[in-house]
Amino acid sequence: MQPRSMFVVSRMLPLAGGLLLALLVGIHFGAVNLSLSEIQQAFTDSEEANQLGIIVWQIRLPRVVLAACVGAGLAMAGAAFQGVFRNPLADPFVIGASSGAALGATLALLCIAGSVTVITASSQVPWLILSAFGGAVLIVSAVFVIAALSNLGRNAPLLTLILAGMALSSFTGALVSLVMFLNHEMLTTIFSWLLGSFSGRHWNEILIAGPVIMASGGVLWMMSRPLDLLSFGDETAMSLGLSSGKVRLLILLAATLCTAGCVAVSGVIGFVGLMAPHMTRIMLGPRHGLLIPGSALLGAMLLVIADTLARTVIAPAEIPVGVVTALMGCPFFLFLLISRGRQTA
Amino acid sequence: MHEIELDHVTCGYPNQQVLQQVSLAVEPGTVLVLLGPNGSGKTTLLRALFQLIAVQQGTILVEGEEIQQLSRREMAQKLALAPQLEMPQWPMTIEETVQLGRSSHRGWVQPFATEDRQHVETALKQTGLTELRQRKITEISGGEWRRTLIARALVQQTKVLCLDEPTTGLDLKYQVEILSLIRNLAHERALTVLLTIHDLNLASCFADQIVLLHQGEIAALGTAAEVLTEKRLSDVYQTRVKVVPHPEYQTPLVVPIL
Repeated sequence: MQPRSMFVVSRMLPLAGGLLLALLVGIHFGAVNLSLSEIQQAFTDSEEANQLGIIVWQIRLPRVVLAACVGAGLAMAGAAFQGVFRNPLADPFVIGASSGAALGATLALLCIAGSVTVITASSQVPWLILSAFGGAVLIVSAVFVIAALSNLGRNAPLLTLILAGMALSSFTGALVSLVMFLNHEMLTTIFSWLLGSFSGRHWNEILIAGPVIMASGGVLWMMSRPLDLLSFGDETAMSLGLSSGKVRLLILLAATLCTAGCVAVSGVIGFVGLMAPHMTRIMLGPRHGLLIPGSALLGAMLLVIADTLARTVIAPAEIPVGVVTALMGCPFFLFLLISRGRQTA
Repeated sequence: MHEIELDHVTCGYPNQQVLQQVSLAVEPGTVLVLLGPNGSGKTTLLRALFQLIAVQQGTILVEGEEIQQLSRREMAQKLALAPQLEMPQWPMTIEETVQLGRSSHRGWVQPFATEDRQHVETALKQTGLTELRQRKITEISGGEWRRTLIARALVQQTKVLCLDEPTTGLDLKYQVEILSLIRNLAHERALTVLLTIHDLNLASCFADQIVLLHQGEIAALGTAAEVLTEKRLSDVYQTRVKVVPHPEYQTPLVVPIL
């Protein structure tokens, strides 16, 4: 085997193994802790209707699989946004996908729920998912249009994109706050959606978000070499044979779609999309051909662990998973920053 | 056939024309140095050649083909550029950076092949980077980074190599080293080289031909001895200069008079 492929296998295998382990741990912990043999039994038994089968197939498995999908999606989108914007601070929400989804979801909650105060299983309301997805796509499209209009004839729309994204995010954020303020009784419902959660999610959500995340993630992976080239800057990428403008648009669209798919089924979960690409870059290097699949594995693993913590730490109650990712992610991320600073110093 | 041909090229930015009616033909295997004061259009000429700025009038031919008709990828197989300003963003290795110069031959997804690796080997060797190949580009010196950019342009295997101020920010040793490297490559590989530079004396030593640009027009074109005259330089740079013979070579040496 060539040294390069040896390197790839030796670094990717631990990540894949880590994800598998996280999935098992996620299935194991819950209201009833399942032993390994019980999990095995649930998988091998053809009879799914018994209690064990129901716990594993109807409750735990869809939840960990969805968390893995969303983690992978956010991480891939984060890696792509960081690559396109040549900015390590970029995350999947940098051009307004999260605020758009939040607005969409809020409006949907308002319409569906009316006076109902508690919505337990959002799987009952595919409208919520579609509306959040639509909101994300709508706001990001608006950001693109604004950036395009303000950049007519000029060549550096990246900064404008970020600025327009920030402005529109604030605007939609204010709209969401206004809706919450005017509808006190919906406050908890909307707020807990905004914080992100996998509570009560089933295979439906996976069927909706899974294909979107996989397809857009696949496109991003195919765009690895263009992403590498874009890291040298637009003009160099062009002189090396890349039609930067078109390619960047394609990458941004795929990354946005990926983000929208994630946000629609899980709410706004921060930090995974920022953190996973950074950690992967330290482990695997900055080439996107490895970075994107590596980030996907790591992001999936992190979010499965975070969600397992979210639903077990104060069981039977649940902490919003977005809170866990921030609480867990922030100190670890700062530790990484400091230790890496020390290394280079 | 000329390697590069500019025919009455006018281009610039919305409110300002930088190049006006520039015509120029470059023979294969020539080291052509673009000289001129700041804002005279040196970099713009290179940018026009790479279609990084729209040509408003006139045509540019490379190997007899009109540049506007070529796709980005086709262009990258004919012209290579080592840009002036490029800040490395991610800690790629020197080798990875150079390898990406092969993208125009492989497209978006096709993996790099043995042939690509051989070109990378050769370019690393020619630029003296073989030992440093695993170093991260965020942690190397200015001179090593310049050489990396040149190596990346070399693996494109084009007949034309353009360098935008390849010596800026380098000390004398590296300036001479880089220019000697470029001239040797030009003669070994029969490359056509276009480079911009500010140092008149380095230009005088290393150029086969010099183009002196002034306010977007060609003020003079020819060998160093033909172009670098006292009157012309004093006019173009609006500074008094004295031109004396180089003590070692036949080339002119330009000294400012304060």
